[in-house]
Amino acid sequence: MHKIKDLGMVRMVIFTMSLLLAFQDAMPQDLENVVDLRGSWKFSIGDNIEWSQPDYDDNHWETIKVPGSWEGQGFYGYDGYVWYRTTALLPSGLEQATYYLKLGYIDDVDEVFVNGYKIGQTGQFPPDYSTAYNAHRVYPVPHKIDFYDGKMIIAVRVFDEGGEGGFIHGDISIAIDRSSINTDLNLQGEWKFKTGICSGIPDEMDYQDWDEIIVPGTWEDQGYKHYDGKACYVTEFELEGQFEGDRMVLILGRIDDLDMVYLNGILIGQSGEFSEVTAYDRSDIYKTIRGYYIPPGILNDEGKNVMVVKVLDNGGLGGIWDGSVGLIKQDNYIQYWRNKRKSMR
Amino acid sequence: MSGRERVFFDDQNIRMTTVIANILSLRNFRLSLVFLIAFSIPVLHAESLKKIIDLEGDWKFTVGDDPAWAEVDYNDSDWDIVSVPGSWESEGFADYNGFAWYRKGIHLNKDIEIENMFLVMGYIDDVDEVYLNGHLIGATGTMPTPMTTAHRFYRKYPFPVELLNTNGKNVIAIRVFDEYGEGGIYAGPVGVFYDEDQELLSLNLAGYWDFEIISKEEYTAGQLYNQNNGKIYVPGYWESLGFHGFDGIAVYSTTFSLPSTIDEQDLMIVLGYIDDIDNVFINGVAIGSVENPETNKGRDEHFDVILRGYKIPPGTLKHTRNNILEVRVIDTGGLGGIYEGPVGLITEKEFETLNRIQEPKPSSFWEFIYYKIFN
Repeated sequence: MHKIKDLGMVRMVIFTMSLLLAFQDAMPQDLENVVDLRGSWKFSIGDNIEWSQPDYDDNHWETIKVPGSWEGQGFYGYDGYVWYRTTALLPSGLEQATYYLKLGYIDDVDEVFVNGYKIGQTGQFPPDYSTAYNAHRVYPVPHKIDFYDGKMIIAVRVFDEGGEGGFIHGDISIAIDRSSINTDLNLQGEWKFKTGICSGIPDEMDYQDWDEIIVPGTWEDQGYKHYDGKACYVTEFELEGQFEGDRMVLILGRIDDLDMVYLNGILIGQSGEFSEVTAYDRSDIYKTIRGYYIPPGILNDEGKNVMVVKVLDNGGLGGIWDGSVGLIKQDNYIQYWRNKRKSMR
Repeated sequence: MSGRERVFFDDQNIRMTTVIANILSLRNFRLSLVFLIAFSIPVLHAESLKKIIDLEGDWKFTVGDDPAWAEVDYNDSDWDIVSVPGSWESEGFADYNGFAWYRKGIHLNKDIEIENMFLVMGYIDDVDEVYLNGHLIGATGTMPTPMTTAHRFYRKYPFPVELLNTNGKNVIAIRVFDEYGEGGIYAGPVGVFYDEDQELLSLNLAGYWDFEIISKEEYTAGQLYNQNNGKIYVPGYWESLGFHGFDGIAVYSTTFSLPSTIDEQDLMIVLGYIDDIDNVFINGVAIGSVENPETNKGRDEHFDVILRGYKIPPGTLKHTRNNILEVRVIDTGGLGGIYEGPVGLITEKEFETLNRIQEPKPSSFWEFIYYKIFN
């Protein structure tokens, strides 16, 4: 997305600037805040994965004001792991919306759970520690999460290496993307991932052993800081005849920069020739929502399907980073574009 | 054909050179240059196209893809309406990439007696398939995946009268795929045209001819060619008729009977314009080639802008049975084929008329500028 061609100092400067810009840039334009999350949160120092669970009883925890560093709120001099928890009530009538969690700037590293489900991470925890204190956190909330009684139970694990720690400043709220596409089968969530090349043919790949990554989300935020180049994503999904006889479209959100998509081993879509030249020519392709028409006969209507997405990032942030990801009936996809046209006129 | 009743929906004459002249008159000359260079190959011909049906204006439109949308009877009443020509981004479908279909009905209430009409669809980004009453009549570019774009190609397809419902509804349906950026029928002209010059012919040979490619590399012909049982429409670029991206050698052939009304004396065969090199045989006798200095008049390049007309030696044609016309075409790159008419038998006198009518073909951009300034 941010092209770096020059060498030496210029390259360093541009790269630094582009990273800063990238964090500003890398969010959808149409987010609308629906819940304000500023205020009192539950807070505990220490680290325990059970604290991510929605049914964990945090009554005995301290309360802390968010945003604001914990140093200024009675935990002066503490560095290391802490957890924050809060419960948000979602507005009614927005059950089908695509939610985003905005958490502002967190010092240094965070990992975010909604209703017990990990939705994203920015920076790297020890032992491969890497700060992301200057990154503005905007996490898409995958559709597959159940909002028990319309509630989002948010748990944030934070690691601070030194100095100020915690939610420092910024917009802390739940937002929705009014322009998002409501898929009929959501495929957001944990996918298999590896850097480098792959064939696209599931049988030729041992993807079960690959790392896990959350889609959508940049790979820089998920342990692959500064990685540019090729990578592979794989997900499996089951169908139970619900789309039999329907023409289907695959929505792959926004991808930085280029992609090639294989469904059950067959190439069904690409955003241009898979080369750095294309990525350079189509410098705004990372903003384009991918919609690929699935040729009839390729989906396994009843049973397992495997999707492989090759991604080529030409610089800056990379990966399937934003937007709806899933299958949509063609009729609903057509309606989406017609509504969009109407709303613009 | 003179004297026949014609159904004219629009009396507008379109000469491709006029299009160029208009572009040249643009205030932004640099833009004109860019445009000219980008489109110089398909546009720089002075074909005498007369518009019979104007198809610019409102078309039915939807994003999505379904072969059922090619059919005459498909109910498109709830589709959106867009203006053609114009990219779909400019019609409210900003940021849309992928498949989309256009449909337009034409109601005819009497027979059209003009033969060899063309459906001109202007310029389309990236790839298209054009259906007339459910029959594929032309396609340019390669549909995904992967696709190959043809957004710089001028779309001119046969408009076969035999597929027309001359007393009722006809539907033109266009399947378009766009991969990135602007999409759709983004520039005109759009309409049904015919070549006035074909009236000079003694026998019009435009139509579906046998077609065979001779290629060292394996080449899979498009759906259009297979649908037409190995035949291809003449005239037309083979890229638009099932052979996208093909460069090499191909053999066109057709048979015809010599009507008794035609005097064999002073008879010629005219093959319009061919990209690039042709070798023409009638009943096995070599009739001519652009490589012959008499034909190319010393021009050793830009064979594609030389009007092909060859004298037929007396005794070559047979009165009693079918005559075989074979045209071997070598295309060295870019577009290829017998791409523009008229095509048929013609008297020497009418060939001279044709040569006069057809403006001298500029063979290069600068020659063209020179021609425009000093003539």
